[in-house]
Amino acid sequence: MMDRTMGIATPAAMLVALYFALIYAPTEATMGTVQRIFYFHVSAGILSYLAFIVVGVASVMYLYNRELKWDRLAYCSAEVGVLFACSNIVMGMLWAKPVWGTWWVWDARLTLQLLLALIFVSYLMLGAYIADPMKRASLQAVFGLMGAADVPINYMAIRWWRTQHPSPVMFGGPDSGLATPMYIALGVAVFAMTLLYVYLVRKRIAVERSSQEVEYFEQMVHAR
Amino acid sequence: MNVIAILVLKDFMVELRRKETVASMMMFGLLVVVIFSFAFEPSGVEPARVAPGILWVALTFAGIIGLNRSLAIDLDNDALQGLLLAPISRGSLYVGKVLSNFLFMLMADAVIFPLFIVFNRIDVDAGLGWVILIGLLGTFGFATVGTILSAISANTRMREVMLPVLQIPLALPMIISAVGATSLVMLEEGDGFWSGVNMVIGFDIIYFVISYLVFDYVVEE
Amino acid sequence: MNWLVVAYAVFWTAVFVYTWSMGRKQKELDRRLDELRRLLADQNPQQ
Repeated sequence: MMDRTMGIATPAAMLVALYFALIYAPTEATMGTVQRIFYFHVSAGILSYLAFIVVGVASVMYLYNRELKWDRLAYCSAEVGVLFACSNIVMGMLWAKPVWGTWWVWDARLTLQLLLALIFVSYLMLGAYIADPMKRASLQAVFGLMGAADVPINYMAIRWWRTQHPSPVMFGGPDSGLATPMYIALGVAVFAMTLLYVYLVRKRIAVERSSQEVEYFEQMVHAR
Repeated sequence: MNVIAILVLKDFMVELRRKETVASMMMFGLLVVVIFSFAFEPSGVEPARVAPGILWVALTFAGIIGLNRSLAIDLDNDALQGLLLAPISRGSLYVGKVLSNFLFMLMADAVIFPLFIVFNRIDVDAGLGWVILIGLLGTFGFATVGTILSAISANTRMREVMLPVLQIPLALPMIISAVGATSLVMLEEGDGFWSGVNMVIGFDIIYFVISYLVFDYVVEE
Repeated sequence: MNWLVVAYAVFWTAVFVYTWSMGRKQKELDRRLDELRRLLADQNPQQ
């Protein structure tokens, strides 16, 4: 039931967000239409942060009560988080090319977002290289927690370092204002992206559960 | 005698007999300094501009070499089992290991640093004390994260490869701040120095506390 | 304008490919699960 609802609501919300980003929002004065990348770029970035925080919380929960569902949540959320972080970075590059004239600058925000994505790629790699499943779960949880601790560090570092990237739009300070319709379009995009995140994580968890079930049955068959 | 002091002393005794870790760290760090100084020489860039980067790359890679050995010594003859069975809290075990890693790194740094100054023709008056302070803080942070990550990577296949894969992305925000602060000192621009140092200190504290709390889960059986 | 199209195309492609690959994996696992269940049922029918 829940899967059905999510399966309909998510694409619908994404399409609405697309409408808000491409048609509803006013064209920005200096950058023109390219600025419309903003809505999905920023919301993907926000959701990658959220996904990694979920990894941290789920890791703590796993270490605390050793229930495998927390380990699964952490692992799946990390994978979806990497997807969001990478699309955030790629969309940013495609925006930087026409506006800054270059794909990439070694600026604090870009560097830190790249590092955050790399940390969780390492996290996924770590999981692939440990044979014992119980050992894997607890070591990955420890590293997931350490990786998630990087999110607030990033957030502070962005404020302390000089940066070419515009200051964060939300809670960014006095010079980061946006026109109200732009806020609305961003809000819709973040909401749709949150649904997408939940949808993908649920799907990923279902896959993980089935594969664990298959493994279990395979052992039963071989045991005879 | 204090438990942590005994643990550190034990690592020193082992090191004194084997003479592996510190020597290989020194040699490797030295080679990095030589290669980079040599590689940047023809570019004609003023040494003070690239030097902080060279210094931190050397300290980072030398540190990784040391960390890869640090837990391997305990694993070789199942000595870690003995340590875990001893009536010591896992927290003290972690602190002891961090301290001995930190001191080994400092010993290697003490050789790398003067040679780095000579090879890069660094002006010695230019805030040497501040550079050393950042070096101490940064090395401590590196040892903090590295100790727990070397314990994690010891459980994986390909442990020598896994440690840098885990450690470098995690430590890089701190290293970037340290490089930034070091170059501000060397170029004699005071602005923004403390925000870099604060980043390093914050990193040290956050990761020391987290690692201290979760070290138990890494070494458990 | 075309950068905007490229950026959105990349994003949607990434999401679609990920969702599709997951759906395929799920289908494959379900098939395997059915197979194993049948195999087990054949092996001891009293269960």
